Amino acid sequence: MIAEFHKRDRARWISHLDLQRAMQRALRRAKLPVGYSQGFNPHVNLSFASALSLGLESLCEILDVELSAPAEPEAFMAALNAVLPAGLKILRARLVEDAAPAPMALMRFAEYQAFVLQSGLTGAASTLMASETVLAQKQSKKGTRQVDIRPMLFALEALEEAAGTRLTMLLLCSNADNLRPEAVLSALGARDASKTTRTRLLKADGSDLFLF
Amino acid sequence: MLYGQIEPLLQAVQKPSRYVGGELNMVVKDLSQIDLRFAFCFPDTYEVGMSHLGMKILYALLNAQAGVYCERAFAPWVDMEKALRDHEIPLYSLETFTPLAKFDILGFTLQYEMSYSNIANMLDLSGLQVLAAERGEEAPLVVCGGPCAFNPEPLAEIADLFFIGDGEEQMLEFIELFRQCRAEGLGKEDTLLRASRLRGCYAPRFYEAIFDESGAFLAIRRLRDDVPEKITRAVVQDLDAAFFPKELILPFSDIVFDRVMLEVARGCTRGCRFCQAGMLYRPKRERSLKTLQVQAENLLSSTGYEEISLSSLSTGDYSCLPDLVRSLIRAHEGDRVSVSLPSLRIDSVLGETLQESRSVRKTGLTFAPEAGSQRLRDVINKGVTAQDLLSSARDAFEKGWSALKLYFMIGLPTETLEDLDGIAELARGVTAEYFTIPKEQRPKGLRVSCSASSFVPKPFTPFQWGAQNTIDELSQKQRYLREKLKMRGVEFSWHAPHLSALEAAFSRGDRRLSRVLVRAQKLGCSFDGWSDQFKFEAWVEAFKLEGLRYEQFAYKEYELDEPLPWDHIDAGVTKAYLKAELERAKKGLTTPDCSLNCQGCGMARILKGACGNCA
Repeated sequence: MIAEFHKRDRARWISHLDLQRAMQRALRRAKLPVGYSQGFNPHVNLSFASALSLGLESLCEILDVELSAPAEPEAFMAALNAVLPAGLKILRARLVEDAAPAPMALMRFAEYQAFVLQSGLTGAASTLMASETVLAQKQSKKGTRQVDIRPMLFALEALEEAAGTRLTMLLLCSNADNLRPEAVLSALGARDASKTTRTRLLKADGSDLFLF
Repeated sequence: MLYGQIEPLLQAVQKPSRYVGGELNMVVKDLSQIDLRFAFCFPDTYEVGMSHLGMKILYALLNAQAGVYCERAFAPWVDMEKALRDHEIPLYSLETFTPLAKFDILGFTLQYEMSYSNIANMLDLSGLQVLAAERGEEAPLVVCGGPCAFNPEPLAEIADLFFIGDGEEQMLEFIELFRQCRAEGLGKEDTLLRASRLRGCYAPRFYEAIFDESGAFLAIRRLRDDVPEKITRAVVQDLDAAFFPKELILPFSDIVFDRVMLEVARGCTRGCRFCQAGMLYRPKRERSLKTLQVQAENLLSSTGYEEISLSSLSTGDYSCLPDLVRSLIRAHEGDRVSVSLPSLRIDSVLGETLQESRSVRKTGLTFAPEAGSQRLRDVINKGVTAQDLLSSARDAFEKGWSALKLYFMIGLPTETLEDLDGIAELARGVTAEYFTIPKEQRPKGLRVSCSASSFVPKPFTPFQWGAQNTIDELSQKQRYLREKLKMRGVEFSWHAPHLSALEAAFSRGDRRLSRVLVRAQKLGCSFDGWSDQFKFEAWVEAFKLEGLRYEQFAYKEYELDEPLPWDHIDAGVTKAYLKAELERAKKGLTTPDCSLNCQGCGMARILKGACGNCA
């Protein structure tokens, strides 16, 4: 079963590892027919298309869970939504064949929206998009290093509003590599803490990942 | 609503989910229907506090009352504390982000003496005065309960009220009384006065501590004669009928005990002489098989947990243990739920039960011989022999366990180097059992974890009069053991002796320590139980500023007829019984389990009807 869910409000502070555990337990509470791994500590076979950075909201997370018996997507959604904690909600679900490729492997882009309490960022956004290279600090397991984020930045829009600037960005988000929206925000010189929301996950052809 | 102010801080702190609540089964109430707001405050991290069964029970119990809203607060970790202080945000509840100062009652649980500095710090973070006398009418009532409340004196100038004993019934009586007092327009003083007439309630402001010129403790004296001279512990006699939650909050983060905990029994009949819990939770009361099965079902279905653990002071002594484990496994095995059995005593019914437990999940096995030699085990009345331990260990190895934990204490009364040698001999004996099993029949990877904690003399035990070993003595013993335990398959761990010395000072301390706590908080002490946060020098300084030394409490040797700072509390066990037990300890005489032979500990005096343990 492939399910799309949102992660909002207080739930945005749930780490990726904790989210896995929360989903497993929700599936158990819902008494859905899920597949378990082998071994001494069996766990529900589930995966997410992408790990969302802590503190980000999302309207489009993708959950892939193995079922041990067929289930109707509508019933699956209703059963899970009845037991999920506040801030997590299944939005769509559909059955796929066991042999279907993992959404994680097909994912290519993520779209984010951020609202920054700051004006005058439209110029910075155009400059950034016009640059050939954009050096930014990138955190990896090996520590922080300078990388060129420009090849991972596909679109950036800045809209001035009364209270600040609304930014929409399309960033690389794949199994192999991904660019965090925080890196773009800091390259833009956005100072204020802003709430960032992941709004879409897309395949390489730009189509909706959920419908792969 | 503080949430808007807190949210920007969260990106920069470790484990932000501990500061926002919103977990599954968190109680949400309509505030317009609430007339009493209670904040259950746990003076440690979220992960530690959320693992505590007592908190879960009282949270559910209070929230089951119409008009009452019980919320939670924990000690923020140092990074979050700094963020809160930098932004002048007061400590708040996780349910509604309400500043603690706005609650009617703040309830702190006293599980461990070295969490007291966190209580002072949490009050300070709430913008409240730490000393009760300096908090006004508008400040919440600060109440404390839990095992350490049996010697309330170190917190007597900080808390307004102590609950001594089992909380389930007492708490509801108090809540009713509090509402009644408010309806009558009574202030704090009058409310506390009435509360002090409830069983197990101690309002320290109506009592004074008296010392002689040399600073020796003389007595706790009533300041008015309409409060009880002795405060008798509250007891829930029918544990089977006692309140137990049907739902548990399911934390997102990985807490310490992240599973369903079933309290199979409260109390213990063994009578180990070092064990304060064994004395404080008498008589032993059990829950029935049926009740536990229902509780397990409720909690599993409301959480989705995949593990059940059985909790009590001595789970191996639970009378229907094999039946319980078997029935739990049968009922929930299809849902891949496992059952684990912690704190097993080595002479408990192992065999068959273990086999079943392992068939679902392999958990660590823990044995607690406590002392290395038979002589010393007799002194502390730990009724197990080396033979018990070795045969249980062999049994465990044959059934596929390769990791065992052995718990010991050092610094026990009458201990000599020979007793320490005994620890090493036991560890060697256990590894020898492993190696005598043919290679193909034993599990791989032998790991015997030997841990030696430092003995802390506790009130209401036969060893309450004696001094703790000094820091130097304990360090020497640790070094000695470290050398002795360098053997294949054995790991040795120990506790910081400086921390144990302060724990000893507070466990047997008197009222003067309240002001030491205030000083320590100002000097930056908090999270003392976390070795990276413990500031021993600051503590020494805090004592000094009050003209005191921790040594005068930790190393105090009381005469048997000398007044003790906790003499005004009636815990059930009498001084005469404790003295008799001390005499027997000195002679190396063991005392049988009181389920076999009543020892006249005094508990029956404060119960309705018989104690029932030797029925």
